[in-house]
Amino acid sequence: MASPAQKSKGASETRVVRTRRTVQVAALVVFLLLFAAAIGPWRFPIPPELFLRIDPLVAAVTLLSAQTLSRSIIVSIALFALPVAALGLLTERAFCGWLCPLGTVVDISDRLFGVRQARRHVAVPWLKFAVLGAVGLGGLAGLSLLFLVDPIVLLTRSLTLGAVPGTQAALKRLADLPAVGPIASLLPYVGLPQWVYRSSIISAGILIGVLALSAMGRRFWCRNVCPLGAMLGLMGRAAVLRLRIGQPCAGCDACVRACKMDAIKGGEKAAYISAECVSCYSCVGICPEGQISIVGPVRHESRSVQLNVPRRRVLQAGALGIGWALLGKFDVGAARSESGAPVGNPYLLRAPGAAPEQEFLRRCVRCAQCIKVCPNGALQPALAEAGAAGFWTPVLVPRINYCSEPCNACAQACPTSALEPFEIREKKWLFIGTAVIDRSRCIAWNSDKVCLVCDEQCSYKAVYWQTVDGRRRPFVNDQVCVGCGICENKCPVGPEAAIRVFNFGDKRDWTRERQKRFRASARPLGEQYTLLPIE
Amino acid sequence: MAKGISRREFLILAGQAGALLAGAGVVRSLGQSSKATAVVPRQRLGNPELLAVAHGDILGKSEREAEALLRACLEPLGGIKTFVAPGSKVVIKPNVAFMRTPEQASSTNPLLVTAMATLCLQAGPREVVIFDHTIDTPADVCLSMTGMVEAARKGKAQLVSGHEQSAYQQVSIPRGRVLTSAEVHRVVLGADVLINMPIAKVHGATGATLGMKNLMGVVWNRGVWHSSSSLDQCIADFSTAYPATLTVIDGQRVLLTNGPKGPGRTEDKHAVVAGVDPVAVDAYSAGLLGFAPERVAHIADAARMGVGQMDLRKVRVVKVS
Repeated sequence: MASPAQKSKGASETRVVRTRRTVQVAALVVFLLLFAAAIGPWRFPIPPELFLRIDPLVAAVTLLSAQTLSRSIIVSIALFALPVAALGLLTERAFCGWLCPLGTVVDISDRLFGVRQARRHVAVPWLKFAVLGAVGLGGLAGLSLLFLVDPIVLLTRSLTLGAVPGTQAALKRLADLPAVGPIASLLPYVGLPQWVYRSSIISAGILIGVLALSAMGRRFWCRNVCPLGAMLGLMGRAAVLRLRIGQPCAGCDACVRACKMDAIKGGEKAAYISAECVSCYSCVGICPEGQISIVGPVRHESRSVQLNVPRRRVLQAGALGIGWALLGKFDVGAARSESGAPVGNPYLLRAPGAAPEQEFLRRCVRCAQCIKVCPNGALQPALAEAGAAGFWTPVLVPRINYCSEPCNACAQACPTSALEPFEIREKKWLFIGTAVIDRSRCIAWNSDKVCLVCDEQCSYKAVYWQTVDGRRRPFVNDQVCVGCGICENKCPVGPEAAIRVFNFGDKRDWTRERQKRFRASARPLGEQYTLLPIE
Repeated sequence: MAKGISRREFLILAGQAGALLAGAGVVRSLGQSSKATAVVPRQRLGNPELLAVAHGDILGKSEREAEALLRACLEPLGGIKTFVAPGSKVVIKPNVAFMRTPEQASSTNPLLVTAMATLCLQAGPREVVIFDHTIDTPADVCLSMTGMVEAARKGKAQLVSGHEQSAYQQVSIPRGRVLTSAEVHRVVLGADVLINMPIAKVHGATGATLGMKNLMGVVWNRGVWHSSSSLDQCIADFSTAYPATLTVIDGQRVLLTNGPKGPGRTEDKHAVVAGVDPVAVDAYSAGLLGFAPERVAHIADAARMGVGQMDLRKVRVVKVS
């Protein structure tokens, strides 16, 4: 039994539809390959976070929410996001129909749901404009709410937190097998520490939820929720390449059924809603009268209707966005020191190169790309420790793993420069935090044991020892310590380490030049100790 | 819609697959006992009363020169054939714990490691493995920064990184005073010949790190040694149960400050020290760092437990160059 919503196959499949499908699959494959390749500081000519950088909504909201625009943001937007925004001006929502990896994943999920979906078709097309309003005005109020709803951000984070650890574990198992082992071992995943991420079940659940929306009609997410789609739809009103539905129209509604976006108003005089059309062109070959065609800039007699965007809803949602942003600022967990660091959590550590905390929160879209590239799996999504405005922002958790010395992967990968890119040599003076020894718990201090693991491990020689009361005891040179967390990670005292990295002092508020000067003026301390040169 | 498989069929199939997997798991777990097993002592080879010290500069030179120096050093001990029998399994354990370059003298000179692998291969072993459980992670980066990836390739040896806990097996240390058991990597447990090849460095906790200290790198949990009542005693304890067949100390360039990780002040000593007695080798090599052997507690502890001879007057030192 064929449902009316099911598209008839074969004859109606035009060349343009086949091309579009090929492009879709190719774009998804490229996205997944780049995603898989995004590990560590190794870069290719194409940045692995390409899709995040080309996302025009990420660019737009970052422009709204960031207080200061660094050079790296501007360069990234000009290089990657602007061309895609230009594509939006050219062809309505072609990004959604042809390139968006989440859109393609939803298409696949729609197929899996098959006939079942049409029974409860839900259409709330205004909702996505309201979401866009909330994201835009929330951004103006200083909070990037994108993390909840941007399709690329959502997909990247869900795959990172939800799918990567399990995949890595499976690959490690494969590498143990005799037949496929040697091949599997070639993958960099196998040689890296097993990654575990907090809240991975929530992230995976959200993606599964988005896919399950297929039960309420094709492209449910794209039709009703996606703010990127809403933005491209608005821009698409001025599109150059458009659909043309000509006359005579028999009113058979074949095009209406073929359209997965509810973009065609049927009846005797069929017309389409340009803000909803994703340029999939499934309708083009389906018209028995052959009246649907793609027209260029010259012939502008195309019949389209404007979608009635409910301004009131948009403003209401915008007020919610602003409210959320403000609540984030007055949240108890987010009570902040003068420098912007949360007072409630002295252990909150960001990745190296992070902008000062307040600015960081304005820029970070919580795409988890930094978490994905961290080869040590040391970066984790924040739960409550960064305040309500900091949910899912990256935090360094030394007890899980530490920040590896010859690596700047996270800052290179950040699409919005919440982590500002840096050279590896700069790592010696970019402060993440400062290690402090709890002498009451340190076994080299409180029980005269020969431990000094922290001194042994310290990559920057910030931890040193001196003989006190006839025993070697560890000390921290706070001008040298950058807070990489290797000491906290390796400290044999448990469950909490006796040496812990604090964010106090918050030296990352300082300019990089000042951080360097502070580091350069350090004095050598301790026995058998040579201070490392700054350059 | 065409139906491929009914719910009942699916459940039955899933049940069968589950039972198969569970069965495989049981069979696999029968193969490996989780209890601590007694160590089968590795065959002791060579003359423990001999110590060979070779002097010659190979810094910045080629593998060929390193091989010549190493061969000369092993000559007084009877050559590599004394230790590596045809068909045996050889494991070379360098010290490549940290992400440092060979020039910084925090890791064993890769030229010497290649030379050792090449020498071993000439004796016709079944396999030669270069093994370390690096401290810095990712291990792959550490192994390539220290030059071990290249060293293994040039020496035609297998490189094994011990970063998976599943590859370790709990073994008991019957004579241990503080350390009574440890998880040791299976590759090391299965070796017929263990060649310990550390670099001589100062060390915050133990004063010096030489041969016996380097074998900490074949166990999984090193933190418990540090938090035990005596790290030095743990090192000595481990050497009672699992000494190396042959210890070769890289004294080409030694690290004198900021040890063991460095970088720090280094000094070029151009030496290679080899011997069968782990205590005697360490006692002699401590001198490269300016230590009297009795000032390094784990050497003294091991000597006291009868692992070897700390008194260098009772050992014959053969110098070659």
